[in-house]
Amino acid sequence: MRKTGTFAATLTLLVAPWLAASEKQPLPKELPPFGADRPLPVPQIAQSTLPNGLGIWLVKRSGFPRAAVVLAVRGAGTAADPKDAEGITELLADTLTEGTATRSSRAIAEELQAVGAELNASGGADALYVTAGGLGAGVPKVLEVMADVVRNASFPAAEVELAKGNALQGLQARESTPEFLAQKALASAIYGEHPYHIVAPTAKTLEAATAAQLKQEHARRFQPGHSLLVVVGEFDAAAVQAALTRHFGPWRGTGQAPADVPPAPATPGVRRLLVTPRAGSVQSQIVMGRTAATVTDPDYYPLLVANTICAGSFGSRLVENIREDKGYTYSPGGDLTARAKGGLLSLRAEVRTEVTAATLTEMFYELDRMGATAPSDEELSRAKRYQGGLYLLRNQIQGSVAQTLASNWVRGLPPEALGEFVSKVNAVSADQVRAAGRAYFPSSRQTVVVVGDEAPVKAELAQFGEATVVKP
Amino acid sequence: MRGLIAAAVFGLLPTMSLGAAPAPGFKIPVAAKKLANGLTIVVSEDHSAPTFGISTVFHVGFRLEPKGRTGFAHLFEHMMFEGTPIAPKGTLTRVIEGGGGVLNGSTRNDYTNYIASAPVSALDAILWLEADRMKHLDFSLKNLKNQQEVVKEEIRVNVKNRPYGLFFWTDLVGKAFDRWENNHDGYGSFEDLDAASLEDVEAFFGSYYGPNNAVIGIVGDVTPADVFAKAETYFGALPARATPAKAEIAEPPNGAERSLAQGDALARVPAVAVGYKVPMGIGKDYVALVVLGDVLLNGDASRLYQGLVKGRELMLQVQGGLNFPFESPWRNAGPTLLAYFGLYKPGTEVKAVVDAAQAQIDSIAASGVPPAELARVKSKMRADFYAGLELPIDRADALALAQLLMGDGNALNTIPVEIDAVTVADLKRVASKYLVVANRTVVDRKPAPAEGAKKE
Repeated sequence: MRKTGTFAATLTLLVAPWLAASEKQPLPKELPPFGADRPLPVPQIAQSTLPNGLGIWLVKRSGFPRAAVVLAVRGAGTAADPKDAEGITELLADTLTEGTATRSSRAIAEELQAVGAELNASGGADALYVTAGGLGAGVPKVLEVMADVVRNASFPAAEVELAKGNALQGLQARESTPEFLAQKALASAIYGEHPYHIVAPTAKTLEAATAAQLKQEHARRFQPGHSLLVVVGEFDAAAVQAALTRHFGPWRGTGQAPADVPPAPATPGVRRLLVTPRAGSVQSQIVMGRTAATVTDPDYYPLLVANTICAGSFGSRLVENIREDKGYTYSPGGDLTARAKGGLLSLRAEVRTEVTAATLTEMFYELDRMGATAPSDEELSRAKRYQGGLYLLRNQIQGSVAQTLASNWVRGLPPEALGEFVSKVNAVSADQVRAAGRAYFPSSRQTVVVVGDEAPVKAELAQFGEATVVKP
Repeated sequence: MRGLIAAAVFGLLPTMSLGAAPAPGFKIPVAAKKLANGLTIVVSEDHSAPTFGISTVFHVGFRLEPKGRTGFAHLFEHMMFEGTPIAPKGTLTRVIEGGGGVLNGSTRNDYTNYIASAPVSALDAILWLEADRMKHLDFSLKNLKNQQEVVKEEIRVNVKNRPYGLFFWTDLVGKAFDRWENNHDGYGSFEDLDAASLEDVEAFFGSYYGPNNAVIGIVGDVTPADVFAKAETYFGALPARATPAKAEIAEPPNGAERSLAQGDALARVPAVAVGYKVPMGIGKDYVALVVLGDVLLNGDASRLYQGLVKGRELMLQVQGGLNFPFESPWRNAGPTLLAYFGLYKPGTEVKAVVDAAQAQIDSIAASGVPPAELARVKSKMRADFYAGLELPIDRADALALAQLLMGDGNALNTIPVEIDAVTVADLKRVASKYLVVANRTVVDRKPAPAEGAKKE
């Protein structure tokens, strides 16, 4: 999930709307100008802490009678997986909601269905998230069941066996998709032994998993002092406070919390070419990337704007080039993923096999151009307003606001970070974008992964250097 | 936060007791106006943020595309982003993203939509752009060739290079339906896509993209009076265009089961898709089938999840509902399927999966469901229905489509009431009338050897 936001001091709006004729192409004379911008909404976050250390952030919204609840457990994600059980977080999350001392998995599902909700747990690199969205009047019930799962998950043997079997077969299904293979190859190449290389459980982890091991991981990771609970939406604040105190108040941490994760390793200063063979492919799945700034780094906002200009929006240079001009691809893009201990900048495109080399040439060109010249005023203004508009859009989704507040907290950002997002984006200069281009975008320092039909892909890559084959 | 959405308009929200479905009463404001040229504008105010969502929908989709031109409605959708004589290619994206907005479009059986969301300061500019591309397009061979390639890449990504390749859509309807309008591949064959000419583009635009064949939905920090006045300014001068007579699309339920077995060179786990034909124009039965679909398939408490993924442990996962795999049963205006799709366990016979699902259905046909279960499902449906309307861009789209396909944007307020009115007896009736073996189509998709099974 990318950035969303609200909160904070008074915000003035976005940058001045650009609508002048550009150097590229004049705009139609008849096109009406943009109107005056109106102030951004500023919701309030009511913050408190339970005596056991659990942080509580409540954001009241009126409108649809719904609410979203997110519990973030910091340090309980894949980065905490033991060496001999990489990816166990996923099985832990899948089985967390499958029973407690007093509720069966079916009872959990039905109690929540009655308030229009469903409980989900998922592991990121830095945290494990337990989430639910449903009718606003059902928030106290959601909190009751969520607290039961968090405190008393029982990992029934039959449920664990079923989940293991399904996860093993599910892993086979995922391994048949090109994007999964690409993601895995890129993460291993970039992160090496660092725990951020984990994108899924290994078959070995799943085969060896036991209920006792999941219980132990649960006890070790679920610590109230390392957790934050966020509720966003239409709810009765008094009833929610009472439910929080009653159900989460008695939560106590047991065991030794996971150790801190070291910073992600620096990217090597060379280009690497990797091929993952996939029989029967009619396309090359191209992904390239490198480690980058994380959210707390001063480079983050210039990098975000640079990515928007290069590949991160429909009007970006890469989309204009390889889709709208050349017709090589349908949905190319660029992503900036910021984890607590390191960011990842990446570019992707799926193209018919025979234009693999031609596409790589254009992708390298667009990457190198970011450091070679500063963006035009129009490009810079458009990227900033686009990011400002995305902020407004995501701000209108309860689940998105809750998730962003939680993941910001996991990454060490204060609640105010949400509301400061637009002004930080707007402060970025053309020179800073070019500096970010020089620091992070050079094609000579990207790790390039191509998943596809091995022989023709290798032939397409030959002109760029020696490619290493990485078996899936 | 100013909370304006709420207070004035949505103040009808009743107090709810825990665990009970909220009584109907939550209302979305709806105001509609039809211009002299036939263009209908539907507006819903929401002043909670200084933004708006807009959806321009046209009454044409896969069903009405020309024979011999499979995939054309979707290819044409791409051409709507390729510029006009006075706003050349690139202008639309430059202006909308430069205004802080996002944009997209999609094609379905009965409609094609063009959606955008932006700060309200961009309202006039976006309305002008929408009117401009309703008036004329840049019919250029270069742009057509470019988008033919882009669409073929889209099909490679989603079909030809992907395990299962959307078979639960194209292959299932291909087997279940008899009329070409309902059973052809809406993504299209590469041969048909390549054969599309500029004349085809021009003719389709002339036939189906006039203001009289469109509805615009707008939701956000606006007032109906202001939007209606702007609509008159930007769209009022566009002439209505003659729309071809609609083809016959109605089909009855099938009288004998149909099935198809396929191999999939890219898949490693078997999958099955099952559909029951749901005819058009069945009134109250349609709503009951929507609810039945959710009893069977909505979430972890549903019958097929509890019965087949848990319980019998036959499937890895299952999803579906009425009008699956499309977004919602409320965006359909013709015969469709109540369908489900899932991966099943290697070593399991597909017959065991389909029989176990049928046993769940037959039990509802015979004995209904406990009233408490129906009440729970309705709560989930209400929460999901509102979740689908949370963003103004989604609400604008739903509003425009309710107006286009059901003739009334206010359907967004009556649908929850109709869902609440469905009884256990209704579920029994529609289960035994439509969800029967004779009306069932099954497509089984098994991993196949890598050689040759996947055609380019």
